[in-house]
Amino acid sequence: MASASSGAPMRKVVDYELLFDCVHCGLCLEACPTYALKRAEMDSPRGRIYLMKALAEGRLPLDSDAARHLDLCLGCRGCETACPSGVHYGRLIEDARAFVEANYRRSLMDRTRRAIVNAIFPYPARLRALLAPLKSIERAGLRPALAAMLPRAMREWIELLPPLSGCADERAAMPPAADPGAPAVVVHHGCVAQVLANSENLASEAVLAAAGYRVVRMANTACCGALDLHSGNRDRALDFARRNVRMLAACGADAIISAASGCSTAIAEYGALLRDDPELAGLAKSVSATVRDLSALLLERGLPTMRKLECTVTFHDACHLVHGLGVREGPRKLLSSIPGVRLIELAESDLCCGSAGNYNLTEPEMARELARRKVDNIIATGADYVVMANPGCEFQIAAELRRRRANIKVIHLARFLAMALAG
Amino acid sequence: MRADGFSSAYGCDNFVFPFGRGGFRDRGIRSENPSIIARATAGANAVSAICCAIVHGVSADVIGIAATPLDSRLVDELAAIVGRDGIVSRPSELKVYECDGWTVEKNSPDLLVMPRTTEQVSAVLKALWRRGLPFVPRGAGTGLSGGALPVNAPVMICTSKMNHILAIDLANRRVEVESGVVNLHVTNAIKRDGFFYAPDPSSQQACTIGGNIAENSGGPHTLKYGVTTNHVMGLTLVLADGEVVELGGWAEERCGYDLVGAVVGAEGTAGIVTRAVLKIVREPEDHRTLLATFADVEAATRAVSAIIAAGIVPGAIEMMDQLIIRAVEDAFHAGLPADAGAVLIIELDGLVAGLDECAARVTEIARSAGASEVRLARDEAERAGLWKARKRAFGAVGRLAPNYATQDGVVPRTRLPDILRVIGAVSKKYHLAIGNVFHAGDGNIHPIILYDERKPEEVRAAVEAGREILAACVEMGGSLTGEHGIGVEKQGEMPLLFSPEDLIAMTELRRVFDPMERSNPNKVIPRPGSCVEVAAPRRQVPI
Amino acid sequence: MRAPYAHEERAARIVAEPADAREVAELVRACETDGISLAAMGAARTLGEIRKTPVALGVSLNRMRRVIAYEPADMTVTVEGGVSVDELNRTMEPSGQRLPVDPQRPDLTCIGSLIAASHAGPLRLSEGTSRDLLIGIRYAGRGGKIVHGGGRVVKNVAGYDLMKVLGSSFGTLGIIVEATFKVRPVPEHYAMALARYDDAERTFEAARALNDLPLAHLEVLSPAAAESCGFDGKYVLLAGLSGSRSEVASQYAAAARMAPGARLIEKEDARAAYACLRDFDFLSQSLAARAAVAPAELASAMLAADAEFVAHAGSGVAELFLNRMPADVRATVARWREIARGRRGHLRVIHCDPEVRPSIELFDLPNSGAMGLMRRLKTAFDPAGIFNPGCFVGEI
Repeated sequence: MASASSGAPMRKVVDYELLFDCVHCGLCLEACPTYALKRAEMDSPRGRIYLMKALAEGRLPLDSDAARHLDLCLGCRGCETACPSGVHYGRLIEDARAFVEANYRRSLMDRTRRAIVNAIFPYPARLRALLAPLKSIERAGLRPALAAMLPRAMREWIELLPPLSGCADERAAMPPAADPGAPAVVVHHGCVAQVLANSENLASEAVLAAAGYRVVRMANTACCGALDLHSGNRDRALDFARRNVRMLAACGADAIISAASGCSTAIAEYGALLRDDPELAGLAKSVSATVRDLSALLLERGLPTMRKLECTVTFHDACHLVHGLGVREGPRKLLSSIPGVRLIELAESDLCCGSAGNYNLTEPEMARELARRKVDNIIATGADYVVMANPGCEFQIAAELRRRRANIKVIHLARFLAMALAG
Repeated sequence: MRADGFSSAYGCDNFVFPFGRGGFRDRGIRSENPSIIARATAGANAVSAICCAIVHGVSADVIGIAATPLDSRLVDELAAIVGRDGIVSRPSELKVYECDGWTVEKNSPDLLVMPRTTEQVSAVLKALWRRGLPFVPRGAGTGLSGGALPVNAPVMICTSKMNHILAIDLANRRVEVESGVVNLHVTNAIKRDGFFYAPDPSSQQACTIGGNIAENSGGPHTLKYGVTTNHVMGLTLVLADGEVVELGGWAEERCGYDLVGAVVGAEGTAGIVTRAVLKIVREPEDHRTLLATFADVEAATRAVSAIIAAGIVPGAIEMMDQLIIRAVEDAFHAGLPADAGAVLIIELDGLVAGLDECAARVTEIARSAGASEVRLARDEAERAGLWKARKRAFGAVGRLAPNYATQDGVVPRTRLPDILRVIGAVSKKYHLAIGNVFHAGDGNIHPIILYDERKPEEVRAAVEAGREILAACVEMGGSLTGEHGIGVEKQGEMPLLFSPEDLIAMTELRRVFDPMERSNPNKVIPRPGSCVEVAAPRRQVPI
Repeated sequence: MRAPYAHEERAARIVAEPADAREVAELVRACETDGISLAAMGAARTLGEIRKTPVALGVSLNRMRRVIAYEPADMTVTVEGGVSVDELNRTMEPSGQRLPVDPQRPDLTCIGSLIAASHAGPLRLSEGTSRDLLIGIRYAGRGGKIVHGGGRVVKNVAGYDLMKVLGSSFGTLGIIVEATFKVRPVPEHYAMALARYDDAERTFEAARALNDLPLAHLEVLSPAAAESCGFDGKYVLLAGLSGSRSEVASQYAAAARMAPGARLIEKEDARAAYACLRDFDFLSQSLAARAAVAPAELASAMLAADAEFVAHAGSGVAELFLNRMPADVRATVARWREIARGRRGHLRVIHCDPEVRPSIELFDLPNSGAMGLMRRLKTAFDPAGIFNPGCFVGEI
């Protein structure tokens, strides 16, 4: 009892001192997507922190309940925005996940699912290979038929994929640089993104060039490590981080961006992640300090005159963009600056859509519920386009909109801007 | 032990109370804490006499002795009412429900039920009633006086799934909600039409209307617009025996006794409120939000008195002292002067026509009271920034120490300088940092006492310091609580404010709604278990 | 002890005038022992109306008129129950403050009656009623015990809200001996905007538009009401404007936009017109009732009632009256009551001829669940059944 609290924690679950930042005020509750749906304390940030503390103090066994509530967290970090005490929830949940991975044995189904995700998604070549036959099936118009034949779990994965024919899965020519003295920007092409959302990468490069930036490319791209970090594979995440730090530093760019906000946030946190790395700590810190947001860069230098796009748009805040990088106003300002565009505010715009990295692959039910809620709100705006700055959200929201047969176009901010610039 | 044994127990020098939380263990209900050993010292004798008077003649059932322990049949029966996903019964999951925003004391419920409708609440309460089981209602668990702490109440009933806004009627200026609706969501739903729901506690982004009703919550803007009780027109209340009662309604006047007024602020002891009809208010035409900087808190409180004396009723006047300013500035960079001794946030609202004139007068008054700077928020963003800093000040303090206890005393406005001096002295005496952020306009202070729960002597000191401050408030003609409620936190201090007759009348009132005291038992009115001097907080479990 | 004055005869058989709270408590104790009914009675206006038969003992608080504590800087005042609203406000006038509750004839309305009978006037729209301003109470209740609730600070949630319980209890739970209020500054300026209309619909329509302004009060008067207040014309809309000079001017400008033709009445004229409105004498009519309905439905209620009225638009409360006795009083009351109930409200008869009083239920009956609780409340607070018995809701 009293003694349990006065001594050191019994188990290393997370950085124990960090838990004391939480004052149990509860202001995070409604900012949490799982609490919003489940309405139960153990599926809230405050409840999860309580569980972590009880686990650390040995007052709670790591059983299926505890693992379940920690698994269900999307890692969206909406709670960090809501938290007045500055709790480092992101770090806490990442560490707690690593603790669960190391100490808890999941069901066979769960293990299989996670193994597939871990083995394929961070590696573009493997994903390409896997998708190649599907691409042919799609070309033959048989994708819906295939989906119908598969068991539910796999069908939902297939449904999430965007039309593969639309994916510009190759490197386009580099956009011309306006001025050799202009600031250099590198777009991290990501892992899944370079296979399924390369047009987003290319559009980002194009609009940056249009704004007068000098676009440079990495010699090679590796997964940023966020997927691993969020699912408790800490070692591989560190490995990816180290590789990226070296490669990004080698680019010598003035700014680093990613079309996927989850990757941006991960890179922005390399400094913290590798703070104990004897060799790379310093370099990681400087790489992290270079991470910027596309909208901020574009607003800084200004975009050339855009053509008129008569339409209504609404903006969905990708979690790591708004809660991780704290970017809220920039994209809205850019959208509103396009002639003819009318921006309609989206209700609960910063509530997670359920995509959350690979969460929609490992926790399909909760992900689906969140997608429904998100799409309800999107449909209610009556907008022509729903714009966002993260490919994961695009896949998730587009899949749900397809299921609802709703005629609202999903588009990445960079592609929308590129469209306005095309004229 | 039956009630008739109590009187003989009173007056002894040393005795063990049989119905502290340890009482549960004797009746087969899990509880980790030991019985409370109470020492009826000279000082506690008067208090014990009051408790004796209240408990006198009450059957054993009333003081919360459960008739039957929880069994799996009950769980099945409740699950049939609310569904499996509306029940939490595993101890590891119930752990997170062992305290609300008042973290000094902890106790898990044995069962959590999350009904979705009034009918479900009624059916659940009927099932509990048949078994003689008391229960504790809970909203979002943001309360600061332990109102949702289970004390001899094995079942917790959480309203979080009853979160629908049922009707928005702008013409009638009414909104009808389920009690689990979040306070801020009400305002969000009507903001676009130029209306708002006035009570705005700092926890409004998470706290529920039901919790607000239980505690009669306030907030900064209640200086001008009134507290929860001024905005609740009607209620649906489920009594402890499961009967559903409609009280009040949409009209301004009440028909018969003002039972709505009696239920608001009853801290969940009248039953479970499942629906409420709220009065909403037109947004004022415009605001002027001023930030006034002072060298010390005394000068700031002088300015408050002078503003009020000038016949100005601002929408809000909030004060923050140096400790809080620093914490808030570190957290939110709201542009507060980090080296100031105190700041006032003064918000004026109303017709555009009068605002600038009024702002000029307030500026003038603040300057002559010693303000070194008075700054007007230039735009809505700056205003929002100031309010964000103010409303999240409590949490920001979390950056300064592992734990804090927020007090909620009230003094007559003119005694603010005196109580702040007392707080300063208490802080020195107990070697605890105490920050002040409060509703200066209505004399409602919120000293935030910082401590570390891992140091038992600090916990003890924090509790003692809080009590000393509250006693001083009462001595100055004030009150124990302005908006947080008595809960379990301040039960022991109630006799400072009320005579035995007063407390008996209040107990009678509570029993009109809940004759067996099954709904949130052992709260508000002091009980023998809580009104004796305790050497340490009754229960001190880490986390 | 004394015999009742003529105007008190409907209220009480004998009148006691205790000097302080302790004496009130003794009276209560004695009455409880002997089972004698008693009630506080102020100017005996309300009690005289609601009693079917006089109570045995009327308790006049005429000798309890002290202002116990007044702290202008704290904006709180504590007074004995016998002080009239007018007296109290005169005490506070030099400090520029007032208790902004304006019952009909504030000179006759004592604080105890203000609270117990929940009297309020036009200002309820902007300032609320005594319910909203009462922060502490002391009453002599069961067993002759002096009980207090609340305190002397403007914000206080310690303990159960006895102020609400005693408020609008019509003397059935105890005798209020002391009360503490929060008070408000007297507005710098007051003026009134007046508009005339030929029909009720248009008047209420204008009132609906004006309700978006932060008005001091907002009334719609039927022709007879308008006439006796000295406003010629048919239906009259009155909007109270208060605040600084510029605020009053801007409200008038807005009011004139929303209600074209609205005339501004200022200074002494405005105050006189307001006093006329506030003191409108329903008790001299043949039949009068107060309806409280969902605010937006007040207009349709008035249109349906086929009666004269003073309607407090915005708050959904209105006094209905007839200056000639209808053939079937019970049927009229029943019809009015249906109108109010159909609009989520209720109706209380505030005045009728003494002959018909026994046949009329003055108070509307709450639903059975609420009524059950009210009976329990009455039994808990007055087990002997001595406090003003038999004339409140459900014959409590």
